[in-house]
Amino acid sequence: MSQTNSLVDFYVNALQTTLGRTLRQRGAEQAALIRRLREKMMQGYHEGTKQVLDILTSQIDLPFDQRQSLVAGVLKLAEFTPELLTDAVDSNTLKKSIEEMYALALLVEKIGQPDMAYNLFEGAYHLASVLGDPSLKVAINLRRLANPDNVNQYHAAIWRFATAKLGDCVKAYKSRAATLPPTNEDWLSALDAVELAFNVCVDLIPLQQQLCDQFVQVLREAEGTPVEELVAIYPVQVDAQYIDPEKRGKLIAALTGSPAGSNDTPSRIAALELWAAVKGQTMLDDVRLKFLNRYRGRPNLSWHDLTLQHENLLHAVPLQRALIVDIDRTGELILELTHEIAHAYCLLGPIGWAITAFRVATHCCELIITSPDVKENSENKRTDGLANLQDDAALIDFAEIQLAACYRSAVHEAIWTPWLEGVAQYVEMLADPKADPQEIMTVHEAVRSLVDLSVDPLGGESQEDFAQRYSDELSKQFEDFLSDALSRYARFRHVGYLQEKARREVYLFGYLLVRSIVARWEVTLGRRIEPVLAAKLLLNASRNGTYSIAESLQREPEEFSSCASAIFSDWIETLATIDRESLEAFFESVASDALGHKYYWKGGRPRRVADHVDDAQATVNSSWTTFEQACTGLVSGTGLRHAPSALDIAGTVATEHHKLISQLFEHYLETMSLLPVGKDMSRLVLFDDGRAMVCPRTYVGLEEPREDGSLPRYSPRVFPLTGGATETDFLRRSCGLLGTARLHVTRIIDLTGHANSPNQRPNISYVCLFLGDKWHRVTLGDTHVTNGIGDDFIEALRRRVLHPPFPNEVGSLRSPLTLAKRLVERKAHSHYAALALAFNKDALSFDVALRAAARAFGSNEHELRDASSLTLAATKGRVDLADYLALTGKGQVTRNHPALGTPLASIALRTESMSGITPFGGSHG
Amino acid sequence: MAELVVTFTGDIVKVAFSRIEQLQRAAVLEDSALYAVSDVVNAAFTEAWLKIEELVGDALKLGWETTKERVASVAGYVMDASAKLGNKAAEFQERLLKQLRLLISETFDVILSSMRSEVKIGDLLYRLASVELQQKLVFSGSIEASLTALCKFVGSGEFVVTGSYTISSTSV
Repeated sequence: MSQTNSLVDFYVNALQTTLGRTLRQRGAEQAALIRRLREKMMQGYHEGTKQVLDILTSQIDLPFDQRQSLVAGVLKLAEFTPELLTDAVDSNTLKKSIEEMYALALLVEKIGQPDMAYNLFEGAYHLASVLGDPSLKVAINLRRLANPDNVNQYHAAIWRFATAKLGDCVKAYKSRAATLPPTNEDWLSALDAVELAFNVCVDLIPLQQQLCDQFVQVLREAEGTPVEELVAIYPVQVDAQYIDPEKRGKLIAALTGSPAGSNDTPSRIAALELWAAVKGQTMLDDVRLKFLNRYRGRPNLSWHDLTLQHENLLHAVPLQRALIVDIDRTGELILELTHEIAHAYCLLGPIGWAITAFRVATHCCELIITSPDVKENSENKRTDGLANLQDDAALIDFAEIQLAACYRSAVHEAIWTPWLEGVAQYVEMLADPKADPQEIMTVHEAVRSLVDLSVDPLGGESQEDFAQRYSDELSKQFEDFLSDALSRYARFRHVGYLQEKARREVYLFGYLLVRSIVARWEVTLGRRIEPVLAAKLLLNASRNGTYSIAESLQREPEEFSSCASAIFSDWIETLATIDRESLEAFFESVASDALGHKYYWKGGRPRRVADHVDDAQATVNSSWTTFEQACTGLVSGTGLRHAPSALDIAGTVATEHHKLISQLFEHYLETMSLLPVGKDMSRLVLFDDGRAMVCPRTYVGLEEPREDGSLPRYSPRVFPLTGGATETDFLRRSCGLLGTARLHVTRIIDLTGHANSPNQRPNISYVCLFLGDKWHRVTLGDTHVTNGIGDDFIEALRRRVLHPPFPNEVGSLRSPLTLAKRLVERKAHSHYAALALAFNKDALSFDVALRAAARAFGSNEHELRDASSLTLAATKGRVDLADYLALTGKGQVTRNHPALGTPLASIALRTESMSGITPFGGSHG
Repeated sequence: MAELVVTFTGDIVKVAFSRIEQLQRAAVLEDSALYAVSDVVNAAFTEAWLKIEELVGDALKLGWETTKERVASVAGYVMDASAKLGNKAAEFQERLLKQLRLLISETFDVILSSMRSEVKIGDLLYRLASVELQQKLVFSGSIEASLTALCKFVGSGEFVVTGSYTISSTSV
């Protein structure tokens, strides 16, 4: 019997079924005809086949073109059938048969028989395998049409696709002259496919064996290509029964550098296998990294949802000691993280609440605007990702309300940018934890939560003593590292912020403003304040003392800018003039191991919550309610003079959905309080003994390995699946259905002590492994502790990373310009659109920054602007100024410093001041 | 063939540095990828370059003998900064060397461009065929050596350029 005999049987069956289903009548006569067709084809009697088909053609109930094509396709295939039934088939015949079967399969799918189309594709795939050249286009269709409920079929299609995809890349790589070489995306796609195949399996042993054999044939060719490391992982990630034990043993020995001996215990063999699995996978992950498009940009935190972007935070997660293990690699990163987390901290108070209130209003309006009756298709789909605005007066009015909210949000952010950047720079560049014997600053605590130590309890040590020792050791290592990073880089970072780039002046004026306020506090106290202490008050004020923002939220957009700016100016003024008693109380020392005092703000002064519990509660509640209610007001268009026709209906909608709007406000704030740091799509490796392995990459892993190999490039974890074999099967199935063998791995800092978290303490981080919505593993830090982390909390963590409310919000719902453009498509003369189109966020930030700094130094705006322009224009001016700010920030005032010769010196720098900056209020202060 | 010898006494340092600054600015505008460079590397580079500019400028004004002591101090700054930058030091030094190379070639261009491409003497029009600079400057792979060579070069006083001219045409 020929190699292709059973194949012929297989595809003839498929054709028989296909034709039978298309017949107008399906009686005994038709059944007999179909049987005859089968007989003729199987006998290789081409003329007979043609005769039967001629009779059948008139009975096929398909449009003319399809009918003709189907019959022609069957006939062509019938032409090759006689040869396919013989012992020796010519390769040309095989190639032609594959092409015919492929074309026929596409047609059969078109006529609504995907199952038979699948069978024909499978037939084509097998013929290609006989040829030793798996066809990628056929495998793609197999993968596409495989029935997810038929596990064997579905998983086999995954294997076939992997084999074909890898084969295709290898072939293209090795015959460079003939074809284009594979792109990075091609290689990545091949690796993804192969890894997925390794994670799924077929229950039928012979079939799985066949799939493995076909794969190995291609894998052999992969040697000498950029993905040859696959050879190393195959034997340790695929069920041992499908691999030659001798070859497997050799590869494990090669990977571990330790050959297995005949006297090895099972546990040593298991350990070697595991070590080989880790080694192989991390080698492959190093290969993957070279193919990936790396994000290269400035660190950034989005203010609306606190999403952190950093080139060292993509494809890597802070795990174990990676963040503090090598100052050369992560010294700058830890300062950048401190800067961004300082923003996050401030934005969890009213400044962020306001952004969230505007965001809720914008989203609610979008939900109303997005009509379920309108089907988006490729032709009418907008490039900005927004829904099309229908020509409906009421919806257009909602778009006006939406734009008014979005515009005010942008204005609000522009106004607070100088201050928040100033505070973040101050915290980043000056707050040295070692200069503070008191409790750790909350931002540092959040960053510290990203570090894990390997400390074991000593014999006889109590749990409390161990916890204390661990905490002391962690604090010491973290503070040493951060302090070292500051002494190395703070000066450079000062220079960096003054380099020529967009918004440089906004950063400079913001920073000088903050320094000027601290200088004023120093005058009030009559002594220098360590920056790390001053930073605590700056952060606390920004986060908890900004309730006055609520007053402006529902102002008419035209007036909003001036009103919000005035609130900002008043707030700054009040902050600068905090009385001595309040300052002394705030800076009163707290033992380093004691929990610090909590503060709320009233009348522009921090007050201890413990001393005024009821008042504190009432103040916070009332502020929260004001913001919550403002959301409803914003949706209903309260305060808008230029969208009056909408107000009735919007008011009704907002009132009816008040609860939902409040919930959305609360939900968004809850989401923001969970800050993901780092992301790596890490491979999930499943072992047949009910264990799993994941090796997320650390920052160190983003760089070339060092020879000593002492740094933790990956943080491998192997853990038993609690559900044992059932859970393994479930995971295999889930990987197949989701089409990935990789987990979303991240580390999330709970910045506020989430209500459902294990102990509601802020600044605890959780390492999260998510396989879409199907599976998770969440641990306390990078440990094995999963106890006490409840489902509600895990769900909150999952929502945070996997389910943003709107995709690509920044370029769409967060952009007044984009919303305005959509609105004017339907309403040419929109007042708010005109306002938004003319808005320049950076220019407003600059104006606010200049005004505030001029007020701080008792200067006039023109003088200050000219002086700063002149100072920053020359490299020497920039470097001197940065040097002066860095030195004085550390309390080292030098009377003959060259920066004192810059034009800015006479306005902002004052050597007799304790920290070298003109105190707030200038010479009159 | 006629030879013309001129001495260049202008502020070559100022001109060469300002040309480089213009090139840099254009690169910043064109290539936002520059933002990808670490801030601390940028900062260290800016500061080092400033020191080099001051040193080379003084070498021109005050002469090599007066400034030679300061080469070691600038090189010392580069070493200190490199130590702080750790594994980013290579990137920092590479940028400095590249910029020094650019500075040297700009310096040559400034001097050589002082030679007129055409000279009219009477009825004869001479066209510049080749130029030769009396002083020699060798670029090295070491920052300190390159800096020493550059300072010696600019600190040597006048730059003597010899241009060889061929007769191009006769005026009518």
